[in-house]
Order: sequence, then C-alpha cells, then structure tokens
Amino acid sequence: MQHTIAFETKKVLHHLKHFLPSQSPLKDFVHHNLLHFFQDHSFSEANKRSTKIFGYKTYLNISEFRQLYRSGIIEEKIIENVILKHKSQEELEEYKFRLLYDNVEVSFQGRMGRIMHKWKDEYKVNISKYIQPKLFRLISNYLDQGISLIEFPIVEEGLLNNVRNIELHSFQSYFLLKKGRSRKWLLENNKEALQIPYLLKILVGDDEWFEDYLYDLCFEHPGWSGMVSVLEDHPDYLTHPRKISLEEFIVLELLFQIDYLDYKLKEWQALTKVSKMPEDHLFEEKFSDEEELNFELLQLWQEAFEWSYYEKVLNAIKQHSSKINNTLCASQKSFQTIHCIDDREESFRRYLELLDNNCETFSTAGFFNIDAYYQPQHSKHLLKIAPAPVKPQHLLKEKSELVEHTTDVHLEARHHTYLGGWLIAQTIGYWSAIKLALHLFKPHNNPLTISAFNHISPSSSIEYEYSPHHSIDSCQLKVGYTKEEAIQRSELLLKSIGLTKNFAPFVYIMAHGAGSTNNPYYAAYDCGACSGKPGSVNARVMCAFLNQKEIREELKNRGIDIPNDTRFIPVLHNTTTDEVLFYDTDDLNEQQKQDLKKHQEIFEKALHLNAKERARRFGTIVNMKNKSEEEIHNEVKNRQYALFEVRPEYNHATNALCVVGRRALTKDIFLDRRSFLQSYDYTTDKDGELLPYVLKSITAVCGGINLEYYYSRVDNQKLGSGSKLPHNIFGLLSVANGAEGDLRIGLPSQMVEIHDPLRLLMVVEHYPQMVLNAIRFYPEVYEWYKNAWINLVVYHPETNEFYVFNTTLETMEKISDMNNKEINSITLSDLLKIFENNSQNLNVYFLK
Amino acid sequence: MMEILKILLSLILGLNIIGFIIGLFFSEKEQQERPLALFSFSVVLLIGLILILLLILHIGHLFPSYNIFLFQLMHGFSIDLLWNTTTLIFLMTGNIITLLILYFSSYYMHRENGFKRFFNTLMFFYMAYTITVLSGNFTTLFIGWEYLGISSFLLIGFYRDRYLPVRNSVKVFSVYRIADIGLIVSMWALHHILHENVLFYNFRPSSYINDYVDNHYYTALAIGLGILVASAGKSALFPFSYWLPRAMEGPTASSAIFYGSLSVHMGVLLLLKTYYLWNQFYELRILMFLVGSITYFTANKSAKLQSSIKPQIGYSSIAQIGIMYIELSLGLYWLVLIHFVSNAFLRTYQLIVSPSVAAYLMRQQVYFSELIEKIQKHFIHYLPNRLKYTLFVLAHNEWYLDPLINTYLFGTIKKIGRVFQFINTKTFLLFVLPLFVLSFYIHQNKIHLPLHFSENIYAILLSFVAVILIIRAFAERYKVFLVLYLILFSELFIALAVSYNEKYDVLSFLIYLSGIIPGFLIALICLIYLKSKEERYFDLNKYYGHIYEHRWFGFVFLISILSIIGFPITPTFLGEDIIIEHIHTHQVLLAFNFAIHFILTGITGIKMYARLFLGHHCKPYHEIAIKSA
Repeated sequence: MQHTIAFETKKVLHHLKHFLPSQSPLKDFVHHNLLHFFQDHSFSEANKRSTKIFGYKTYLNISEFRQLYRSGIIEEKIIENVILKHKSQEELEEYKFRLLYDNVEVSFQGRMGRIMHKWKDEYKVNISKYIQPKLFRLISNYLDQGISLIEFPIVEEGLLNNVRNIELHSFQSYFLLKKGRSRKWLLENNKEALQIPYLLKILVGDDEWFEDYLYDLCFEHPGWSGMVSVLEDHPDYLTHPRKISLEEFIVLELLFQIDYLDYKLKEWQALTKVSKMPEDHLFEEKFSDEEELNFELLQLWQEAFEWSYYEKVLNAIKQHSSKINNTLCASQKSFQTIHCIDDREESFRRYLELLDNNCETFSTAGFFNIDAYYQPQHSKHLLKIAPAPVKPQHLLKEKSELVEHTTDVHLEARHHTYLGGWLIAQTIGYWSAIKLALHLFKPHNNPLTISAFNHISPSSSIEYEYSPHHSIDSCQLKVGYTKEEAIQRSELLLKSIGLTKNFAPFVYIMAHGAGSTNNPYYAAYDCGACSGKPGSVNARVMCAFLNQKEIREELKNRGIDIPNDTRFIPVLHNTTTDEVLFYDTDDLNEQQKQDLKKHQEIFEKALHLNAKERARRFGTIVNMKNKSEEEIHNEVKNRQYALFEVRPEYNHATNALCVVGRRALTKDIFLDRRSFLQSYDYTTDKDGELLPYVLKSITAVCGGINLEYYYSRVDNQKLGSGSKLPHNIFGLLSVANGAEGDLRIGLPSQMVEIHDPLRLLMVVEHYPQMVLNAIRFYPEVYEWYKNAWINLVVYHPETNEFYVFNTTLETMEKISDMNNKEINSITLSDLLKIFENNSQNLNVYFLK
Repeated sequence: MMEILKILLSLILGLNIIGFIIGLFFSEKEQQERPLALFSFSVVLLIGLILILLLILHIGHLFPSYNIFLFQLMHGFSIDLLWNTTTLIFLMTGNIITLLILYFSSYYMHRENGFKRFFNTLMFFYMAYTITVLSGNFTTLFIGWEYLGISSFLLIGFYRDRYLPVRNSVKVFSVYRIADIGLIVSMWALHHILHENVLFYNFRPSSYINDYVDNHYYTALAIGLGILVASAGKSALFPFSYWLPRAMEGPTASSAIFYGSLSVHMGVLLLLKTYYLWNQFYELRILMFLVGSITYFTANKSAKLQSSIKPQIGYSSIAQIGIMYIELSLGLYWLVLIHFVSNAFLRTYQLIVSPSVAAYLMRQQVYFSELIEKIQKHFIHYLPNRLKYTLFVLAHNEWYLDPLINTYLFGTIKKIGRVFQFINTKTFLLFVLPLFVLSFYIHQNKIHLPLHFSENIYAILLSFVAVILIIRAFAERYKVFLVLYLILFSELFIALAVSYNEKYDVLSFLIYLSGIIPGFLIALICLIYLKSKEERYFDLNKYYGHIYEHRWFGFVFLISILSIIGFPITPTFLGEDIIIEHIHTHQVLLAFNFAIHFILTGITGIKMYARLFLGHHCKPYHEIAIKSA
C-alpha cells in the first residue's frame, strides 16, 4: 500500500475482491485453493501471512503433529532429513529438540477489524450488531433464487436503485433516521455522495486509512462480501438474474453505518480525528523472531508429515518397477476402461484389475475432452460440463420423449399461503409422520434424492453432431461438434492417455457422479472436471464419436488404429452407491451382449469390494465381520437416500497423491483411495509434446481439491463451514448457521474429518528435463509448483530414480536420502480383513 | 381405573427421569454413541408402548377426565397429574416425534462434538415435555415449564463456541422469562381466590368454576390474561414471534423437535388445560382472536419473505399457531387438537428435509425449468403501491419486534440500572448489608416500627430494594462478584419482604434458602477459581467462552446458578411458591415486584453464565469462527 497515492476506488476494490472468498453458489460448487489470493507467494509464506493478517489457521497444531510423531505416522528419520534439507548439520539437534519440545503458540487473532473496532473503543457502539442482520436480510432477499415467495421488488438494475425504489414508496424505512443525511443521499441519488471515498471521508477521515477500513468492513462478513464479489464477476451463476456489485454493497453498508451513528451518537467525528491509528497498515505486518521461528517449525513438521507418507509411496513405485514390462497383447484383453483421474476411482480400478487379469484401465480428466454446455430437454438453463477455467463454445442438447419428473409436496410453496397453508397444516401433517417414519426406518428413493443417474436418462439421446441447420444458438454457442472438432478431441484423448493401439473389444468410458439426500453440498460430490456435474453426457458423446466409422478412419491416419469390432460404451459410476449404469447398449449384437453381461458381473463384484473398502471409514456400518460384501454394499447404497446421512460418502477426503504415468507404475499397489491417477505413456510421447497439456488439465483441478481439503481441515471454522448440522440455506446460494449468520465458506467438518492435511505429491513419469519444460510451459501451471502448493517428484522410467523439484533453484534434484524400506505384500482376503477392523489410513501394500 | 392410571403414569414419569439420569453417565467416546442412542431410544419406545396400553384403556372410557394425585411435596403443594384425551394426544404426538428424532439423530449426530450432550439435553427436554403435558396443577406445570425453558437454552446454544447461538439462546431464554410473568400472576391470583391447591381438573364445566368466576370477576380475568401472556411467549405469538427464527441455531434435528413441533405448541397446551377458565370471558376470547389473527397475518407475511429455509418454516408454523388461537377463541377445541398434531408432524418433516431445499429447487429450476409451473411470485397486486412497499419493509424487518423488546424493554431496564450505579462493592458493604441485617433483626425480634400504617409498607419497601438490587445487577457489565452478591441479596430481600407479612415462618425461610445459599457458595468458589486462572478475561462485557478450558467448572457453575435463581432442582422453588402464597390479594405492588425480581434474577444469572463460559473462546490459540458466522 502506498500512502502517498490518493485513494483509488477501482484499484482498491480490485485488490479487495482478490482477497475475498471466491466460493461459487451451491449448484456451481468447484473446489479451489482457499488461499488463492496468495497463490503468488510460496506455500509457507502464504500460510504465515494469512495467519497473521486474517487469523486463518494454516497448519495443524504443534500438539497434533507431535501426536502423529508419537503414534509413528511421522517418522524420526524423516524429521532429520527435513531439517537437514533446510538447516546445517550443527543445527540438527537444536531443531529436533525444538520440534519435539519447544513451546509453540500461534495466535489466530488476525489483524482484521483494527480500525472498525475503534467505534467500540471510542464511542462504545457496536455497529455491526445492528447493521448486519438488516444488511444480510436485504442482500439475501435481493439475490434470492427461489426460497422467498414474495420476490424482492425489482424495478431497475442494481441493488441501490432497488433499495431506493422501496424507500421512495414505503412509509417505513430501512434507515433509522428518516430525515437523516444518508437516506437523503440515497433518495436523491446523489452521485457525488454515493461514492465510497465520499462516505469514507465522513466515517474514517484521513484517506490513508480508507483501504484498511474497507478490508475490516468486508471481512466482518467475508461470506456475503465474497458471494457478492463472485456474483458480480459471474452473473451467469444466477438462474434469476440480478445485477450486483461489491461497490454498491459497500456503499449501502457505509450508508447504514452513517445512519446508525447519526441516530445513536448525534455528535461524532471521523475515526482518524478522535482515535490513534495503528502503527502500520494491514498488509505491512511484521513478524517477531519468535513468530518466524514458530512458523518455521510448523513448516518443518508439515514437510516431515508429508514425506513420511510420500516416501512410502515412492518406495512402493520403485520396488514395483521390476514388473512394469509385462504388457498384454491385444488378443488377450477382455476389456479396457477409461476412468476419471478422481481418487475415488483408484480402488475401483484396482478391484477390476484384481478380478480380471486381462482387463486394462486408464484414466484422464473426467470430462473426456468434451468441453460443452448441456441443456436438458425441459430446461432453459445451460449446465456447464467442462473444467472450471474452460469457456466452452459448444452446446449439447438432450432429446427425450419421457418426462421423469417427481416432486415433493413438502417443499412446494403452497404451505405458506393464507388458506392453502391452513388446509395443508390441518391435513397433510398426518401423511408427513408416516412419510418421515418410512424415510427413517427404510431409506428409499424419493424426490429429494439427487442422483447422478438423473443427469441424463439412458432413454434420451444427445444432439452431438453439428449440422448447419442448427446454426449458432442464441447464446453464441455452437450446437454439437463438427467432424473435425470431434476428431481432434478423440485424438487428443486417446493420445494423452497412451491408448493408441491394442484396443480390446470393449472400451468402457467411465464417467462418475454421486448421489445424496438432504445435502446442500451435493455439487461438490460430482465430477470436478465437469464443474460439479456428473460426466455421463461427456462420456456418451465421446463414445459416440469413437464408435463412428468416419472418425475411426481419420484417426487411423493420425496413428490410432481402432479395430472394427471394438466398441466404446459409456458408463456412469455412482461413487456414493457404487452402482454403474450402462448407456447406449441397445444395438449390440448377441455375442457382444453376452460379453457385456460377463463384464457386468465383474463390475458388480468389483463394486461390492469397493463398497466394503469405503465402508470401513463410516463408523456407522457395524459388525462388518459377519456381513457379506453384498450386505455391506446394500448398507452403503442406503446412504444416498437416508435423510439423516451427513456423510453419504467421503468424497476426496484423504487425497494426497497424483501419479501421472503408465498404470503399470501403480498397478497392484494398494493406495487406499488417496491418489489421483492420470494415464500417460511417455513411450508414446518421448519429446514431451503432450505433457504440458496433460499437466495443465490436472494441476489446477487436483491442486484445488487438495488445498480446499487441506485448509478446511486445519481451520474448519474460518476456512471451513464448521459442522453441517446447524446449516440453513440462504436463497439457494449458500449456507449459514441459524437465521442471521454470515455465509460460510469451505467444506463442512463432516467432509474433512478423516482428511490428513498433506499437500499433493505429483509424481510424473518422464525424463526430468521434459517434466521441467512441461511445467514451465504455462505460467499459471508453473506457479503451483514454483510456490510449492504442489510437491513434484519425477520418476525417471529408465534409470528407475526419483527427482524432486527444488523450488528455490528451480531444478530437478535427484533424491538420494530416501530410506529403502521393504513394502509388504498382502493378499486380497487379508486386506478385506483389515477393512473390518480399521478405519484409519492404511499402509501402502503390494497386492498379491 | 384410577389405580391403573396412576401406576402407568408414574411409570411413564419414572422412566423419563431414570432415562435422563442414566443417560448422563455414558461416556463421551465415539464407541458409546450407539449404546447411548439405543438406550435413549428404548426408553422412549417403552414409554410409547405404555401409551398404547393407555390408549386402549382410554378408548373404553371415551372422554373421561381424571386427576391423579401423586404425592405431597409439602403442605399445600402436591404433584398432581391430569389425564384426559388432550393429555393423551399430546403425549402420543410427543412420543412419536421424539422417537423419530432420536432415531434420526443417532445417525445425524454421529461423530459430532457434543453427541452425548445433545442426547442428554434431548432426554431432559422429553422429560420436561412429559411433565408439562401431564401436569395437573400449576406447581407441577411450572416445573415442566421451567425445564422446557432451560432445555431450550441449552439446545439453541448447543454450538456454544460461537457467538450467535449463545446470544440467541440468552435472547430466547429472556422472552420465556418475560412470558413467565403471566404464569406467576395467574398462580398468585389463583392461590388467593381458591385458597387451595388448584387443580386443572377443576377447570371443567361445573358450578364450581362458574361460582368462582362470578365472585371474582376481575381477578379471574387477570388470571386469564396472565395465562394468555404466558402461552403467547412460549408459542412465539405476536409480539414475541421474533424469537422463533433466531432459535434455529442448533442441529437441524433439535430445531425440528423444538421449534417446528413440540416446544412451540406448549402455549396452546396451556390454553387447552385452562380452557374452561378463560373460555367464559368474551373479553379474553376477543383478545385471543385478535392476537391469533395478527400473528397469522404477520407471521405469514414474514414467512413468505424469508430468503432462508429454516426461519421460513418457523414462521409458517407460528402462523398456524395463530390460527389455533383463532380456533380456540371460537370454541373449536377439537379442531385445535387435530390441527396441533398435523402441524407438529408437518413442521418436523419440513425442517428435517430443509437441507434438501437447495438441491431440490435447483434441480427443478435447472432440469425442468419449462415444466414447473411458474410459481406466482405475487407481490400483493391488489394493494396500492405505498401500502405494498410499507408491508414489505415491515415484514422484512420482522415488524420491529426484536428492537421493541430488546431496545425498549431491556434497554429501559438497563438505563434504570445505571441510575443505581452508586451501588458498588463499597456502598454495598456500607448500606445494603447493614440494611439487611437491621431489617432481619427487627423482624426476628418483633420490634415495633415507628410508622404504623401496617407492616405492609415495609414489605413493599424491602421488595423495592430487592428489585433495585437486581436491576442494578442486570445492568452491570464488569464486576462479576458484585453481580453475584446482588442476586443473592435480592433474593434475601424478597424473602425478608414477604416475611414482614404474617405466617411466614422460619421453616419456609429455610426452604427458600436451601438452594440459594449452597448455590451461592458454589458459584462463589467457581468464580474465585476462574478469576485466579483467567484474571485477564473476567467480566460481563463480552462472551469469554471459558468452557473451552474449564468444562467441569462451567457445568458446576451452571447448576449453582440454576439453584440460585430458584430453578426447580432445589426446594428453593417451593420456597418461591410459598412466597407467592404469602403475598396477599391486595398487595399487587408486592406481587409485581416479586414477578420483576423473578424474571430478572433468571436472566441475570443465565447471562452471567453465558458471558463467562459460553461464546467465542477469548484465547485465540486454536481456530475460532468469525463473530458473524
């Protein structure tokens, strides 16, 4: 902050918006780094500053780390390695002692509110207490997407204009003083007064402190400020359009503040005139030596924690590498699957491979290169089914004869009307009791359940072929894809995962989605690469492309030879219930149908096992020992329907790893559902041409997921939304506690409780220099690695050695200090026994 | 029949109490979740089975009404139960909903910090509910009524480490206390008109009740009015409606059982129990009709305007209770019963599924926007613009009811309290203490006082001192110990004031003090301990959240505060009843002072507990939610 430069509203607001939470509304939930505003800082620097400035807790407690050390999860040898990485040999003992015994207390007070608090100090008034309920009600009604039955009267664009309209026409006012100056400015639409600097001049006085005051103001309720800022930038998130800007929101609050002070104090002066201002500005924080040391220690613990896990995985990959070259030839293959990189698919793939030695699995970002909007048959709205940063140019329309539309009378609007309400309350209540009892004692499918299977019905079709008749749709989108566009996308998909030859007769493209009931965070459970939607439409379209003769012919010219009898079949995996749905199988011939049936049985078995592996985490499925896999699976299925289930599934919790390479690298390694997997075959891309593209598409997605879990876990109060149980939905936009709370950001405790906060380890199989070039290719990708938001290790496929990315020197360094520990082998039945008794993170094993 | 009834009903009460107490002894470990849930569920299920038995017995004797005398607490105070169809219906509804909620919560609350606390409080609430529903006289009702109040306080403030739940729990407790004035006034007046233990059983069409109304028209009217106030407070009617949406701070399950269904209908229950008492007054029925209509209108408007789901359901529920009042005023007793059951179930279900609303409505909008009938978002077309907008702003600001009570009522009391700022620890020792000793001495030695109006004037003066002391305590923001002393002496002065009336013997005095003195001593020890540990964070100006570090002290302190404020866990509560009995009919001022004293001690005590032990923890060495969260 420069003191000499006069206050520039635009610049300051831009800066401010950068720091506000950037969480989208519930239906568009996308995981992101919660400290995104410091993404240009290194991880440790960002953590340190965020704690000091915002009071965010950014590491586990020192006592938690020590507990992990005592329980053997953090290894002593690794602590020493980590210290030596940063300190000299002489300091080793000193730092070890500090880590284990020093008193480390970090304050999460933060520096926010220093200026705002002066009102309390100087005038004994609690402004926020009076203004916030009013302000929240106004903004929440204004932005409401469908809860209230009396719509906020909208006559013009913009929040202030509409508040003015109400004030003009009402005998009652939102202002305390009906003749007060702030109301007058609003009514007159006084362009000069309705400016942030003008109002701040009155409240704060000296413009040196304007910026600090604005930060205090917005961070008194970061939830709403953040939501306003997000909706200002993305008006398309709203199905009921509203024009809103952070500037207006701030102006309104400042008007209310002046109004309140005029009312309460009669005589008052700007803060800088009556109060001594702090010695430094908000972002000029200083750290004492003790604080520096504390954060240094926490960072050392964090790295020790991470490497204690990383090392096990790296050891496993290294010891496993001898097996790599046993590839199957095409004739033996039964089927191939292409999954999403999602960590939840890791175990599913593992079981498929265990149950059928002849199958082969791949994975890639779950939108399968279909970057589009999707429009259901009966909707006017467009759903984005591509990764968050992508701006799709194509539109896919659903075509369906059937209407599968169910409703629940209890959530309809009629209850709140005068006569209808009375009639319903007199009668339907008896039905509610029965319904509730049925729901509780026998959870079943109901209109409240959100299931991925409803995204698109198997009976409907998709308009995916571009034809000139359809021309450009009204919203500047191209309906469908041209042949060339389809070929490009298919080629890139197959080449990037290294599947260019040896096709099996069946290739299943496995989209995934989830299901839940009574869950405001439903969108966070679906596919992240499809912007929080299931990937079924994408999979169906990609399969349709790949099944087309003309496209296959053109692909052959480009080096991808798909045999005639190979069939691509789209499948949707519901990760909550562990069920699969096969699409577009009607026109298979008899032989194919029989094969399909065989495969379906394998899928079914794999899903049973998968369900059992997940069940161990829940803690509410009791007596697993005496239940068959199928019984356990049935209990898992119910979690989707049960009203009382706050953890339908654990989603991405425990994620810590991402492996980019051939499946052979990780096949038969038990990774405990902690790893994202991206198929990539360096042998087909020796010059690393595709690598930048591959890394680009997964870095932000995996990094965002990982860091959202990380921060929501370490500070579930400020960077998470606390417990889900008291949440109350506001305007269909977001959740808050109770009736008057600020919107909450991040993930609820129920989603992150089992998560170990580790940064992601990205393991890439290629030559170190190639990987270095690849991450440098896109600056926005490089930032993640350079600033250590993601740890990067390269596996050299030929020398069988690991290289770690050194963030200071920006080079790849050979890892020489790795402890070679023998990884245990385990049989499937032993593993299943472990599931019955253990809900903690498990070791890395080889599966026999 | 009477004998069987007595056995079964005692069994129900016994199971309730035992169920609650045993539940306290489970540990907080995750492994104990299932057993605790299973245990609580079984207890309530067992009670449900007894209720089915009762239902079968009941059908045999259609519409009977019995009073069941359980036992004598002391002379003039007994525990009586009232058995009739209304009781049965309320018990069964309560049982079914509690069962469903317990089952729901056993999964819903899994791994939640405070699982055990939640189940304990829920069982405590259920016990309170049963006592209130079964109560056959005011003494018994009052026990249940107070238990309901405190269980509400505990469940709204379930997330005790955040600011808003704690503030709102104190808010709701305060409204409950204000409404309790009505109950105290009624109890006092009834004692005097009927000169005996007043049974609800006697309130039925009979010459007895008619005679009484004819003979004491205005007193009876006052009683009716008192009952109306008490019930309006508990059922969140106009002008108390504002507390209900603010009570939605606990886990969804507890919001459903409390504010959707059971707790909020307790006002209706009180009116049903005393139906034939107030039913005879057209004034009251008209008033009730008006209150009901205003509530219906205002709550309905507010419900439609809510942009968040839980308060919307809450307001809709209140609107229906408004209609129940209208129905009651029209004499539609049975319709109210049908309405209550239906509304209770409906709101329970709606609140339980409220987290679905985003997914459900968004799905409708996003996938079926062309199919769903465009919900008519009408904006009251037929009204002129000005009225339309005025109504909008009024409903949006919840009819300014919150500031009405908080700023004007409590604000005024605080202002008065500041007038008496001269009472501090020093003046307290110099004046208040000697005054008490002197008055006590005069009383004990029966010294005749110079002014011979009657002894009453001294009683009233002393009661004024008590009120001043408690108002002073209410307004104090810093001196914790002073507040505790003031509460104690306010209680003592009230007792002394009443003892200036006749008949008040040492035994009654001792009964009255039996909870107050030990409570005071324990509270004092807790405070001394807390101050020694937390010197820097020790006043009443903020919430300090010491419960984070001092859990057991917090618990002990709460119990001691409850016994000081005469909560029915110690005999002090009976002592208060005796006091009410000793205030003569013509001593309206004394009765009024007693009522004020009663309300403010409760609020001050609970506020002291809340400020010291609840809310944001003052030490920021662990993650803390922002204040507005």
